[in-house]
Amino acid sequence: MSTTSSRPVYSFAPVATSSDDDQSLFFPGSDVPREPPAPLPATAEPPPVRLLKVYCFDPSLGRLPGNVITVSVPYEKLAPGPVGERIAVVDYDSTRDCFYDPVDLDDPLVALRGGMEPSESDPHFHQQMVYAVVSETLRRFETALGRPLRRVAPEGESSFRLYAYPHAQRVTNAWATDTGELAFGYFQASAAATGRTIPGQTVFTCLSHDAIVMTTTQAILYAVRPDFAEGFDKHIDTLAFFSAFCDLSALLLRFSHREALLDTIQRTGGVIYRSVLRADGDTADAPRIQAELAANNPLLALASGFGEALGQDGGLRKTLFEAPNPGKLATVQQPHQRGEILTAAVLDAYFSIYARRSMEYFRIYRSGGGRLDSGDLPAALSGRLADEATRLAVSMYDLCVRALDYCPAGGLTFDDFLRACITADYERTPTDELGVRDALMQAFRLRGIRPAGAPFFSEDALRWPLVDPRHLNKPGLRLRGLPEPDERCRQLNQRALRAFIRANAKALALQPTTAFDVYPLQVVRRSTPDDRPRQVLVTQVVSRPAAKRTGGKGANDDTAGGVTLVFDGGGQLRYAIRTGAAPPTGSATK
Amino acid sequence: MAKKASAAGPLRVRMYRVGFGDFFLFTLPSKAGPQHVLIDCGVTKGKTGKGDIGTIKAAVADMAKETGRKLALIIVTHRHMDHIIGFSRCKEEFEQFEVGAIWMPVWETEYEENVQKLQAELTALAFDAGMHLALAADDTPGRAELLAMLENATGHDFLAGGAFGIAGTGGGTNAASLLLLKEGMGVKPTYYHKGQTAKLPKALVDAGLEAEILGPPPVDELAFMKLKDLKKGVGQYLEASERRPGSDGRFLPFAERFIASPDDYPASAFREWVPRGAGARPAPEALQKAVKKLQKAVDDAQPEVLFTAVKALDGFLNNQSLVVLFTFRGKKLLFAGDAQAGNWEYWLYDSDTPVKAPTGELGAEGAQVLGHLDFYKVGHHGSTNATPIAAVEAMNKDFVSMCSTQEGAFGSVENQSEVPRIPLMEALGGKSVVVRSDQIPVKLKGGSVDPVPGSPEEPETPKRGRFELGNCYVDYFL
Repeated sequence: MSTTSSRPVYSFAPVATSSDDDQSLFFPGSDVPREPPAPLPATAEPPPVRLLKVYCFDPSLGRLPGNVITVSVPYEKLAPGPVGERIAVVDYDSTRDCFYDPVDLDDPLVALRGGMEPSESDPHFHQQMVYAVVSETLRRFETALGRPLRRVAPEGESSFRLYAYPHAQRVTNAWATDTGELAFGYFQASAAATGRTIPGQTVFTCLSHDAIVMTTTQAILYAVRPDFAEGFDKHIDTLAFFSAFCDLSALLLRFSHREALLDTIQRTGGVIYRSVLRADGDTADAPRIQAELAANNPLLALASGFGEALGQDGGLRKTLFEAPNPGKLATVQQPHQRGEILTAAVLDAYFSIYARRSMEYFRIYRSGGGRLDSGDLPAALSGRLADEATRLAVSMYDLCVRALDYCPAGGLTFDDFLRACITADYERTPTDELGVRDALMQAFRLRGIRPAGAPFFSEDALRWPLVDPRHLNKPGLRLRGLPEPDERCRQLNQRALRAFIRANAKALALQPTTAFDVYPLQVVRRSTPDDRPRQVLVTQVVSRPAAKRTGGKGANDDTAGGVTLVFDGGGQLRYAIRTGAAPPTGSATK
Repeated sequence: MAKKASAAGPLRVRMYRVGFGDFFLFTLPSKAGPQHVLIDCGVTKGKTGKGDIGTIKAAVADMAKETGRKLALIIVTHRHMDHIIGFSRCKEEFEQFEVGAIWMPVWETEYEENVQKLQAELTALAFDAGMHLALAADDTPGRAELLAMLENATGHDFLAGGAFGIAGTGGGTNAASLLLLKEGMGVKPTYYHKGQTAKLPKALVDAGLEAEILGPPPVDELAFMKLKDLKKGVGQYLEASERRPGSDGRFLPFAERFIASPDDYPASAFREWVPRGAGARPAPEALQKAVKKLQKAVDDAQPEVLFTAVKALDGFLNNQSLVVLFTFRGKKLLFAGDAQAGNWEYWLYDSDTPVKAPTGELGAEGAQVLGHLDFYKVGHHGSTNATPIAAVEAMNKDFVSMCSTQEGAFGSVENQSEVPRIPLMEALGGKSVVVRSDQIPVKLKGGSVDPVPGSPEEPETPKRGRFELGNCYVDYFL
């Protein structure tokens, strides 16, 4: 062992030395330094998550159990704002032309308290809430999507970053732009304000959990499926789908918060989709005190505080829980109202599966001597029901997000989305033990959403047809280096895709003479229910308007729209998905 | 019932009453029998939802019967719903027509990529604005008017139901109408701008018709295209009134102690707007510019900015209007579409640049056209921004004006934005006999629609020619 090194060396074996002045503190004769070793630099790992309090609904519900929840968002070092890598909260108010003081969540005094406490009058909490809910929404979306969020465009892709303005201006609105800006307005409640909101009070849309999730989702959709915007002018369903998907995200993510569910489970006897909650106090005659008043189920209203401030009882969307009416689809054109039909269908499926699952718990409970007519559920049963509802909500949300990769390019219809859901769920869970696909099919059918191009209303018929590879040229994709391809790999794949599309245009039901926008190949990594990793490659091809027309009487819109191509991990084309559901030449229904 | 135009008879202009929208049938006699020119076919509900009176399908059926499903020419002035929705709403009917030619403004061409791109961007702007209103409340300033403009720009029903309590539309979209007109009528459209020679179909040439294209300006004259309004009180029948909601400064969301400056934020908060560097902290000047850009990004989303953008879109589309002057046996008929200020100015004045308050003399062409009119299709349904004061003043007397409109669909008297604008109607009335479509009674098998209150019993007798009322139209024989 060398003694010439200045580096402290530790040894547990006594080593003889010739030194007379050996006065080692520990082991005589060793080369252990005389002074105690300097402490190693601190290598404390950053925490995996940051815990932050937010409203699960909005301030109008006050201290209702479950309204204030703690969310765990991925930890990152934050500058005042908060400003992180992918989210920058910048509190600029264009009405007053001023900035508001940014919260510093990394300030030890703030961090020690676990962030800011909920407060309507402190913009620091508003900034925290926007950051936390946006961050949570991004995380959940990414987890479901199976790949990091990137902003895609026909010419390439770029990093994804959102700018959030919690008090952008005095206006009764909140919105997202296609460049990743989330703007939240604030306003004074109208004279007709209902519920807990008083006329004239200041209402902040950035304190509505729903508004934040909806705008964030809107920004994400713009980034990951910009081709949908091509369809806004082609079919009203595309715009309505945008609205519905944002609504659905807000509702399903809310149901994934266990704390928010527990009180509702208690006050509905486990029937969480009941529209009215049982009052705290029983009364034989008319209610006289607030405890005797039955309240609306807040889980079922979208942005309820926002709606109440405008004098609309029950939140922004009105018809989510109406009885299904198959004729409505033919008459409702307004995008948000039409979107409610789709939202209601997915929620119907979710609640139906929950009802079926909860029934099993009730049976077990009753068989053990438990009684359901007493009104109160035991804590253990409530907990299991909350777990079940949460798990199913996450599962349904994941399915809806995954289905985005199975939607046609350049616009879609509601029945396209149903088929995308069926296919995405089949790809992950071929056995469908929970009965998700059947529940979706029946819920859509009840609302008049029936795929026109499918021969039957069965799961097999609704699933997108598999491509028969024998009729297609090989894609020739470069798979080495995936899922994180370098620039060269990206370019090679883009070229290979273009060549593949040109060579197979006819088989893909595309006009060979049309110019195409080809979106970058996205590498998706998902796991099967038995935790086996699975890689899927997805891209969209959208035809651009033809430079010259074919003309002729009765010519149709064959050149419009596009196709979504889904390749398996080996680079073999598995699905070629076009709106309208007509199977492309060379496809075979499995 | 109206008489059919015969080979030796007078020419006829038929204005259908469909609500707020243009639907004109121009028929002229010829040796080969009557030749028909259809000019637009559309309707929109407007801001209040009262614009569509639900008669367009019956009117199209009447037109089909009248023409024997044979049109020598279809003129599509521009792509607004109130001018084209009828084509897709009655697609099955139109697909049975034999059409000699279709004229559209140059802005519909498929042969110029830049034009296509701009039109696509305008459509995208309309839908983006619609998405901006995703969470908008009913009391958002100008929301109803914005939605009405968006609906007109796309043909999609942004207004149906909800706060407005209105049922869905009768179907069709602008995109579907354009597709039908460009691809589904068996004839290739011709696209025109001012300065080009109109090529009439042979049947109309043989009948003795001549046509001159007065608008829109060529596509590179963007400055004219963007001029949608003239100076209030000078160029158009409107007095100045400005408002800026929400900026009174008295409503403060937070205590003053929370006011901060951009310096309180890290440089990374403005990264998007700082030119990409090597990762070093940007220079103070660059950061300052970045802050300004961020402020502009938020400012640009202000409701009134959105309102302005959508209004600009609306005006731009109106300025794309194909303006045609027909001459038949010495009689002059001017169809102005929805042309707004810039479109008018381009052919009215000898000027290379548009001005908001033109004060000079009209150009020779403008004076010649307006000084010898026999018929004028009132621009933009009688809106204040579509027939400049100078144009009305230059018009001769004793002609006939037809205005396809529906009172109460847009604007209000209080805001001096009612359509049709009363001072404009009065000014035109001083020069011509004005017939409004909303003053015509509709009597169809399926129901009837009364004239708007205050309508005359019957149109005033013109100096030349005569009017005849039909079950859903008025004819002017000249």
